[in-house]
Order: sequence, then structure tokens, then C-alpha cells
Amino acid sequence: MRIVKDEVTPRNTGWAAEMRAGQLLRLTARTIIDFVAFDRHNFADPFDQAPTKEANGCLYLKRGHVVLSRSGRPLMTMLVDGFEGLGTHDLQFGMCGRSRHARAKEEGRLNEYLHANVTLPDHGCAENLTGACAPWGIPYEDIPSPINLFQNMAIDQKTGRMSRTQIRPESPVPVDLRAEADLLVAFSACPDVASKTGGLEVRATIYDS
Amino acid sequence: MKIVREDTVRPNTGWFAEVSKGQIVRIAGRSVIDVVAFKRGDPAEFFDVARTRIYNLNIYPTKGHRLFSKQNNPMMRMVADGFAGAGHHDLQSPHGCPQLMLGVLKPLGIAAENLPDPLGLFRHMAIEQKTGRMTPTPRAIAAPATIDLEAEIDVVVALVNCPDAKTSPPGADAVVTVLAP
Repeated sequence: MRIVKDEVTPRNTGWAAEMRAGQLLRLTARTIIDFVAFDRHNFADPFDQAPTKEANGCLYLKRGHVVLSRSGRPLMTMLVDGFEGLGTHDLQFGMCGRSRHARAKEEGRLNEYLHANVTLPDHGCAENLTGACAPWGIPYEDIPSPINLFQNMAIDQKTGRMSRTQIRPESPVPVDLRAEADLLVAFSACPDVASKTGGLEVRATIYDS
Repeated sequence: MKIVREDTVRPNTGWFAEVSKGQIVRIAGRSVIDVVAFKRGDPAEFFDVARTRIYNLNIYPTKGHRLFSKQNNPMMRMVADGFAGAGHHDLQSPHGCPQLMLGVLKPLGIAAENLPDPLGLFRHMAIEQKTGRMTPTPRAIAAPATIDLEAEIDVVVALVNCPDAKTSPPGADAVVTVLAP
């Protein structure tokens, strides 16, 4: 497969690119990635967690699962999951960011970010994704809640309680997503304050089919 | 509290109202009711299922939980949950009756691309923690259960009574009351 693009995105910054149907996106990382996709010809039909979970009948995104748009169109398929067996990718969270951190601090709930003494960054995935999508004219309120790759949550089926875990790959592993439509894809290399290492860089490679 | 308005919402119909800070929307129902909310005067700020789950750190909305906007501000608080013990409400699924909801929201100028995913009252999902498997598992109740949502800001609340056969107990009238302190 021919490499169209191969870029490394530093911790707590954003990235975006256009893809054609049939191309493959490989994200290689050992840190949380807040990932979104839009129909390139209709930004009003972005990725949506709810129809994706309903179609796959699953709380998590796994190998073989489809990634659906708000209107239920297939946008991508996960072909390879280097996190499989270790953890699951999250479809519950929104994004970290200034307003989320400010509220946690105001309510004395910073310990829910696991490291009570952590210094919270002044920006996070919300700001990174907003910046990454800005050249396409997509404002924050139109950026969907993401697929949170490598964000393993402990969810208690009885009580519904969720808690963050520190399960991350030991070394960078790939997740391969095939574009099923022409897309705009974007992600934030999360500051990942819940992990022991903090956020790390993410490598994004686009292959022609 | 005094009754501001009270309406019967039949299966496959919807309802909306402006609700002021401090007022309560009381929903007495048995079949699935999808609910959305917008900040009054600024529909770009709307109820968001992901921010709600994360704020409460819980996937089953119930008494004491707050409904949050995408901008991470509180919009409403669930102050009574008569369904607790019988089943869980849902924050995972898309709209069961999107066209019906869009019809309800039309006077408010909310189009399909601005329709947030709903709070699915009475939409019980069996969830398997290990595999993540989600299975719609309707939980029929003998009498209508009452859910109270208190407005924490001025909001517009819209809902549809959506008794889809796969996800909901059989369709039943819901009574929706707005109460003022």
C-alpha cells in the first residue's frame, strides 16, 4: 500500500486530514486519542457515538465494528485493533478541555482525574479538535463526541458507575480504520492526565488502497 | 407546587414547552420517551449525552444526576425517578422516532443536523460489562412511573412518546406536567 501521508502529532495538539473512500488510516500510539470523522461532502453528517453503538450492539468500539454517522451512514470500519486483549476503546466520554477542567476544579473533583496533584493543562481535546477543524469552518458545537481510542473505562453493569483506568499499551500499537466514504478525519493527542506517562505523541499514516 | 400546564402525550406524538429555572417537568409514563433540551434563547447550547455521562460518571441516569450541555453547563437535574428498581433509563441509543422529534422541534427552528442524541426514559438496555454487549430489553411496569426533571436554567424541553416494539414496552399515554414553585 502506498503511503499518502505520514505525520507525528505531539502531545496535546490536534491534527486533521481529508481521506478518500477506500483509503486506510493507521493511528499508532500508546496514549488516548480523541478521534472524529465527518462526511467530507456534508459536514452536517458527522460521526455519532449513538448509532455506532446501536449498530454494533456494543458499548465499546472493537475490531470489525462500523463507525456510523449521525444519519446512520457507514464512515469507517475498524480493521486492526492493537489494543485488543488489553483494553477497550471508549464511546462514553465527551472531550477534556478548559470548561471540563474548570468545572472539576470548582467542584473539588480533580481527584477523579486520578492524579490529584496533577497540573491541568489550560487546553485539551476540545480546544485541539476545534483548532484542527477550524480550516474547514466547523465550530466546536458541530464537532461530535469522539471515539476515545485507548481510553479504557471500568463500567459497572449493575450500578452504571464509570471510572478511568490507567491501562495503556506498553509501546505504540496500531489501530487501522478504513474509510467507507470520502471523509474529513481529525483527532486530538489527548493530554491524558489520567495516565502515568501523561499524553504522548500520535503517528497518523494514510495509505492508498 | 402549582401546575403551569398538564398534557397527555399519546404514543407516537410529541410535546415541547419552555420551562423556567426552578420549574419541574414531571413525566408519568411507561413506554419509551426520548427527551432533548436546549438553552432558551441559545439553541447552540443543548443537552449532550456524553457530557452528562461524564459529569455523573455513570451511564444510567437516575435521581440526583444532572443533565449537562455540550458546553459543560448544568441544564436540568433528575429529582425523582419512579423507574428506579424496575429498570434503567438510557444514554446510549439514537432517537427511536427522529422524524417525530424533528416535527416537534420544527417551530423552534431545530434541523436534523442540530438534533442532539436523547435521554431515553424507560429505554432499558441490558449491558454486559465485560464484552460491552448492549441489548434492548423492555421492562414493562404495572402503573405509570414518575420522572421529575428540574430546570437549572431557562430551557426548552422536547419529548416524544416512542413505543418502538424492539426497545419499548407497549405504547401507553404519558402525562407531562410543568410545575412551578
